[in-house]
Amino acid sequence: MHRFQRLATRRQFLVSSTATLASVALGAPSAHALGTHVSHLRLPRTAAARRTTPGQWLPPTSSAEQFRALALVAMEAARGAGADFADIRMGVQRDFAAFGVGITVGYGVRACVNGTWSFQAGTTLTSDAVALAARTAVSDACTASVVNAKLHQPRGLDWAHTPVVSGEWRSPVDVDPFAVTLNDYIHVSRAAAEVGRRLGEGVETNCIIGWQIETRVFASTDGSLVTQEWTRGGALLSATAVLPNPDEQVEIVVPDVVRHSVGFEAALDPAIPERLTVAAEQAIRWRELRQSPFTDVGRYSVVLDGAAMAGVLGYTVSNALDGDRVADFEADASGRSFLTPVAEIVAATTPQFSPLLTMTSGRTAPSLTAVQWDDDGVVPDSYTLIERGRVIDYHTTRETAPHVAACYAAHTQPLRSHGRCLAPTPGSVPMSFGGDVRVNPGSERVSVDDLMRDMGRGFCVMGASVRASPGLTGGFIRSPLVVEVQQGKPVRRLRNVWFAFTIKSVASKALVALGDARTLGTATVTTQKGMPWQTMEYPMTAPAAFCKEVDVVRMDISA
Amino acid sequence: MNAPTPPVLMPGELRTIAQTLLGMLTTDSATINITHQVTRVTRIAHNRVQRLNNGETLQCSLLTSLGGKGTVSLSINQLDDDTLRSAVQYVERVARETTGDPAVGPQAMPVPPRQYLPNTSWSESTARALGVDRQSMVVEIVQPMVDAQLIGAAFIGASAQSTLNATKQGVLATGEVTDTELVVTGWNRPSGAGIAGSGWAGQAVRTWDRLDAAAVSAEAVRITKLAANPVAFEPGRRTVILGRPAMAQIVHAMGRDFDAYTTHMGMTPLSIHKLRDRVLDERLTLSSDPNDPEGGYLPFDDQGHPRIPMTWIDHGRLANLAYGAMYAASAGVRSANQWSDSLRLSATSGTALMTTEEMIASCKEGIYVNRVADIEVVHARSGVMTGVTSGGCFLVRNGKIDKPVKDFRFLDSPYFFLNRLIAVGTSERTAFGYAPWHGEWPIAPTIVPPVMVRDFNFSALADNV
Repeated sequence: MHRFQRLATRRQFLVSSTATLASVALGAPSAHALGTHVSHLRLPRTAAARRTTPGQWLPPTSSAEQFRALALVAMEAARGAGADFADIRMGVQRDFAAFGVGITVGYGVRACVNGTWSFQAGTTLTSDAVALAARTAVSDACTASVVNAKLHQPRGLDWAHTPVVSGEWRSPVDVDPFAVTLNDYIHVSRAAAEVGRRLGEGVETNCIIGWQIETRVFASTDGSLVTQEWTRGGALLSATAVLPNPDEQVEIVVPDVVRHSVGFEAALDPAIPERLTVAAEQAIRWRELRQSPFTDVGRYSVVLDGAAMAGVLGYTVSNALDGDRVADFEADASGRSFLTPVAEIVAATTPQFSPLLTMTSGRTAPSLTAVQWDDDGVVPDSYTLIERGRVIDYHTTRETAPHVAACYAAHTQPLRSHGRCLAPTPGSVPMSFGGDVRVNPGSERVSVDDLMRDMGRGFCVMGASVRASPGLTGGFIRSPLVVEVQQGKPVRRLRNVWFAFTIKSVASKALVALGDARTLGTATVTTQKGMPWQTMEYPMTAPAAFCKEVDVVRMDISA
Repeated sequence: MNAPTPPVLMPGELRTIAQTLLGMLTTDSATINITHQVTRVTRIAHNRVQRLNNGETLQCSLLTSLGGKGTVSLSINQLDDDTLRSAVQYVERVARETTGDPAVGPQAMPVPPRQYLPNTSWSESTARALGVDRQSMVVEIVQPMVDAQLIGAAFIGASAQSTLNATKQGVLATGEVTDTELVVTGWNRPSGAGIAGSGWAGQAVRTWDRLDAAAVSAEAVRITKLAANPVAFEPGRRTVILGRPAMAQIVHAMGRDFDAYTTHMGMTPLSIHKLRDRVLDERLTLSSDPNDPEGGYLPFDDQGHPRIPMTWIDHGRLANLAYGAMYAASAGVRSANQWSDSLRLSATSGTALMTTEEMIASCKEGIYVNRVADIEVVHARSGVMTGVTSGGCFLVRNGKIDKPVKDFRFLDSPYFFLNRLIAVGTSERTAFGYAPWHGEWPIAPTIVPPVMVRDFNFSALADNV
């Protein structure tokens, strides 16, 4: 996957949900017969089939008890092989979206010997296979530790301590999305489409709907054993003001409804038609403006709506606070962080960013990232990353927390993991990520229109793809909807316009004002981490912002 | 002594599984794809092994048509008899519930036997290396970094993959591929404020025994030391020497431009050209060959169509476009050669070749770029792409490297700057390192020369850390 992610669009939702979910697995309900698969189902032809539930389309899978038993076998094998420490994530992801179903099953064992780590992934769910995976991980860690000893390099930092944990946890859900019928899914989609039909005026309203339920077991040689069931999903709602030229029509995505830790009750929210209507009215409003090519490169004031600002800050500032980057574990991959050395950053007398910026992270429901224990077995906490422009904390795991020890020392806090360890699938390598990151909105009542009102000539960017430069100190913004503003009023829509931003232009001196809570928008921050790389995602929410001195550039140069 | 167990399922085993599945399926057409991949990775950070990562993926996909009303596909990652039987039952159930009777509809025609070139992409040396201790080269990589007082990060990756494509209409293609990549990045230790500067070197080969860790590490150390304490230099249009790692990133992004369908739809830089139009400097030729000794690949695509040697650009002139099977049929074109991810850009015979050092020596003022990263095609119709220099960028003056400079963002099209060619060198397969913008690891072999071109467009400074 490419790093240049389009944010909160129908396309992205399809990629992140339907396509990966649209699969079929099979197998008898034994621990052996599970599959990962990809299948595109069409709407069932018969009324009887439509009265079935998604759960009936998903084949039986191993039970949580079976996963737990296998996880314990693996940990026993790791202990027997001489691991100083080992842990395992094992489970199954079951998906249903747009009449496609899927199951992904697997596990990953981590083992440590003399401070050196190894990871072994697997998919075969037998006692012999998981025990072999565990022994292989230990053996590899042992071999690598001998190499490290030969190099006479300092031993890796010991991981942050965490207590032994046990128990079970489920996402708080009112209506099980796999227990309602396909007809219920169809009704939600049709109700959304009906909003557009009722409005007329050449507007189409759409709903793409999907859920994932994952069972994941975590166990460690310390004695931790936890089981979690996460229910995640929702509806992507959008309104499109249609024009004969598809390149000119305007699509508005209803903000902040895409994928949460929620049940089917989210799709039954009575406010959905009203929110779709608001989006449709916005699409109609912007369609009224003529669209023209962009020619006037230069440096302008820019208003970023909430989703655009979230993308900009997520791909730069929040990623620069990622523990893997700060610890240089990503030095040969996604890169390092400009917010280092940690001791100097947290002791700086001058704030690194605008005093308007306060950024926090949490992992509580209904956030998509909500869990009781992360993939280190740590209970996640909520924390402030940036307070009035000053960096005070980082995203950490057990592995990366010791690398920001100076930060905890500066605040006279105990060294701890914030619980930001994530393996995107049970068989993926666990890495750090951001959790649910939020920027506080402005305290005064300020809308996007209010922010535009102060402009002489400038631009308003609504929704955006963001690409950060490798150093994360800047990047590019490309948006499907850019409006030119003159004397506080929108005058035309633009196409093929790019914005080159630096942290200075959007998060420091040139950040003039933030919108209020009504302007909050969410972007999905997608990063490829590791070698070989794997996709890590988290939601980022921010208010609209007024920034001055943003470079507006063209990318269609000629020979 | 017994032969070591292959790391992946071998063609005979894949054929048995496919025949079992095809025998169970009652639908009129069916396609089976099986891919089994094993990867072994060592990651080094801060001059020590950070982690070993071992991965294994197995995917068996079944696809059946629904009597001309669509398709159902599914994939599984267990291959026991119960799972195979369940897979077939599932596909047939879905077919019934979504179309009524999948057997009603146009019948797929039998496919005449297909001839494939021999597969030359498998290395026993790499297959063996997957099963044994591969850590001895870590010391060869790290010790020179330690001795030079640099901070090193590295990636050593080896993979083996076997693939099968079979259909009920008689297609059967199997093959297996190995690959390895070694990448070393070095940083100077920071002294005071500012960027300390980094260097990068790598090697990618099919055969594990050919990896030369000492040479790669030595090159990384050399470039890293040269790159210490870079200074800001004004961007703009400048003469540039692009090293092989930079060219590999750029050339790989050109592969899809040769797809006939998208070209005829007006969506590639070749859309405005006819065959035999000049599109690059006449000293350059671009080709693909499944049996390329450095850049070979499987002699069939994911639909079992044969892949044969193709010349895309000959002496700078557009020579061929790639026709997928469907488009070839609709366009009435006989050939169905699909484009390949694997490309060889080389100097045409008779061209005077220069080494990178000779290019630097002949350059009055310019920029030497070792590698670029973060490639993004921003304007498909012109091929304009952007990226950032990474792992060594230097000002060249009066035939010598004058000083390291801070990284640039560039904005240019290979269809522009490869028409401003000053000099070209010999072609070799080149490593990519971290490159998710090109797809999944390992990335298909790309064989490129270093080039020197004039008026390359550096559009901005790009802070890298």
